Amino acid sequence: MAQEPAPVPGIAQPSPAAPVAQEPAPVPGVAQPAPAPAAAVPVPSALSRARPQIETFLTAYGELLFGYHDYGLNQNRTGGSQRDSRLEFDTTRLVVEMKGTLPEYGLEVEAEVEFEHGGTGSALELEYEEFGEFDQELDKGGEILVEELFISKKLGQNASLAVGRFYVAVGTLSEFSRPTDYLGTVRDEAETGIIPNTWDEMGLRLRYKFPWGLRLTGQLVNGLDSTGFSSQLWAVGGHQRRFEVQRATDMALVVRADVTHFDGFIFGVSAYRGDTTRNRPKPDLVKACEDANDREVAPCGYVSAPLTLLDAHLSVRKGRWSAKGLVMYGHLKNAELVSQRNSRLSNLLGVMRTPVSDNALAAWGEVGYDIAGVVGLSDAHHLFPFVRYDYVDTQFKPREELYDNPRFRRQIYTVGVAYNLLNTVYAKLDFGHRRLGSDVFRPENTLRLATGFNY
Amino acid sequence: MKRMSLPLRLALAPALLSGSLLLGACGDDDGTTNPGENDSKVGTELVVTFADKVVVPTYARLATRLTELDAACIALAAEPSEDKLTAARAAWRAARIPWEQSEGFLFGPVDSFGYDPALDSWPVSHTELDAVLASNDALTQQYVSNLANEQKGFHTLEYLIFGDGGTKTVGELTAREYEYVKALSAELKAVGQLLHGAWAQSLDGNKPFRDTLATAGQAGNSAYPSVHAAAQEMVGGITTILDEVANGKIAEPYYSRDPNVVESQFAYNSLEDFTNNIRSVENAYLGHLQGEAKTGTSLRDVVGVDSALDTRIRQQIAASISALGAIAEPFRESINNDTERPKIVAAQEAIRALHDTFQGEVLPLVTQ
Repeated sequence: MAQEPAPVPGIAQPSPAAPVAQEPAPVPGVAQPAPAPAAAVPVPSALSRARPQIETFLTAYGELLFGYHDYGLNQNRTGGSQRDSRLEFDTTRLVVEMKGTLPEYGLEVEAEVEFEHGGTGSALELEYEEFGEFDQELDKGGEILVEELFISKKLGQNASLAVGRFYVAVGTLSEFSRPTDYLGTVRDEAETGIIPNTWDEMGLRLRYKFPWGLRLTGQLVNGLDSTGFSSQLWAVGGHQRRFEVQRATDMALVVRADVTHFDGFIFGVSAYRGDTTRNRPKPDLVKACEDANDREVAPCGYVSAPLTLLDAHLSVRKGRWSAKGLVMYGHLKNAELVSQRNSRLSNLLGVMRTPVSDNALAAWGEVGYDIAGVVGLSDAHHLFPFVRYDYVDTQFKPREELYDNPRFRRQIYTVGVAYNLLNTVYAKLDFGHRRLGSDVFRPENTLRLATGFNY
Repeated sequence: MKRMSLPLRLALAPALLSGSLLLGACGDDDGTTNPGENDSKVGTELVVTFADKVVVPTYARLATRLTELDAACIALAAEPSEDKLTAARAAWRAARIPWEQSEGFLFGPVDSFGYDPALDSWPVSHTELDAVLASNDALTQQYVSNLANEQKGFHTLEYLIFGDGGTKTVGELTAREYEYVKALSAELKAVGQLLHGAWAQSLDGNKPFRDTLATAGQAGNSAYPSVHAAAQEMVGGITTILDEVANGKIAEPYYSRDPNVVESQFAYNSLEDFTNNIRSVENAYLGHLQGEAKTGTSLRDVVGVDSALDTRIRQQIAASISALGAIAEPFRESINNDTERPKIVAAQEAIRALHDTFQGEVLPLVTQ
């Protein structure tokens, strides 16, 4: 369950964000007020020249989550998870975003660093999905993540080109990832159930904005790694985070069109397509042939397993209304071959090894109405009672040889209230009722309180 | 992927093994030039004996028994009769023995390729099992292979052919269940062969894992850079299963009083399973299977034959087995029986004591 971070015991506290908060102050002129002997070190010539004025911005947001669950952690039990009464607290994330611009050159540098679950290093997780029995494994975690790091250049009035790490432009979370962007206490379970949560990759991005309100985005980024695909979380585990370097032998193309013409409404579609087999850590999904040349890694080529995602999305912020919505469909070609190979992967790779479905479907929507004025609060306050619906099926219409497990079809009905002050400090409370794809599984109820800041 | 037939593999096994022994012998010569290993029994012979006298024969037996189980299931489905059902159940129990006796060394291919959960996950998920039976999907081996671990393996088959404590009759098995039984046993057989093959044969360009273990400490062996590293893996396997039996297999149902989390609960084979886990430890310690003669160096030699520690270890093994034997089967009922519960605690304590001995006193002997 991507939306419900497992408790992370015994993690060292992160060092404060101070190091990243220190903006590289412009060095005025050559004057280096350094009386220490270190001043004898020759100053690099690049530093000695006057720099242009760089406009810098620092923004951040933080999320804290307190959750009550009425069900046990192990959802693999007969009839679903057992009844339980448990609390989970999570320092969900602290995200610091830095931006530096040189407006007269149309240049912009952006970096975003995320501290997840208030920690660093490896986290111990209880994994029920992979084995029926208790199994603990060390998760690399990557608790400090550089989610964005790119340089962008304006090309004329309407276009901009970026290179680096940025969000993959599919779905709603690539644009609306801040806690004040959506109303629920957590990001939607639908989207994060089939694709990586705030999915970032490296590559090139081209944006073009038509003056009358159409925004086009094209991206060429590294593809996913199919060893991480699984029954429960479809392509989520394909996000390359295990190794220091991302493999980009298979690239992915993303196109997105958003209509922004109508005040308060943004709607559009996006598509993603990229192969996934040549980004596997080992070249282990190759075709077999008679005259194999053993001097080549894949003499007969690789099995092709392209992943296709299509979505339509909507965002409304009009008057007192706030709403979001999305439908996303995904298809993985040759999912059977990927599954067969994955089932024999080494445990040391730390992937699920469960069969992946050929198709996945996710849909969600939420709508809220600001009643701050009605209850006598000033314009600085926003108070949205809201409802949300999530649907995710990670085994949607699978191949004949794969059992269409209703356990992987989930619907979540959420009702709650979201408050914020000037979009800066917020508190949300919601109640979620999750139903699995068959009545024999117990429904799961969650009560969550989230609070944090955004500035 | 093409695989050799089992008979062919078995025919080749002696050749492979003797070849490996030669390799091992060379390794031993190399070992004598290493001054660090002269004063200890922790040498190449220790790991070679373990691999060739304990691990590979156990997996060979498992592969054979799973082949027999598959044959029994095919025969049962072809022409159901009480006798054939009894035979299938006997074959299931017989296959459990080498499997549980292999759990003292759950490392290498069985761990890294996920064969353990594919063979032996429990509890069985009745909900999904019923849904699979109710579906119109063709129950082929490939289909079963794709199922979640809780819907395949030993325990799903156990549920289908035993029912509660072996009460299921031939008449109660539906045509659809026979189809499932056949697909399950075919998959079990295939996994058994893969597992044995991974230890005994070269596969996909990887050398047999037996060789990886036997060549511990030799140049180019990144899995086991020293014989001590391999010996630690052996002792680690022993402590892992002892911990799992005492603090998992027994403790979890005991404390939760939940029969659903008991291993082998339908065949009432739980205590037999646990006992075979202890036998697995015994085999790994002595360096040979039960009833076989001792050859080569074993962990017992490292400890010192008939030393005080050796005597204690053998006593603790015997005490663990007899403590398990004192508990009444079905274990799934004993966990809620006030006269049995103290015996369960006693068995747990006996196994924990054995665990602590290996952890505290044997492990240091193989740690460099």
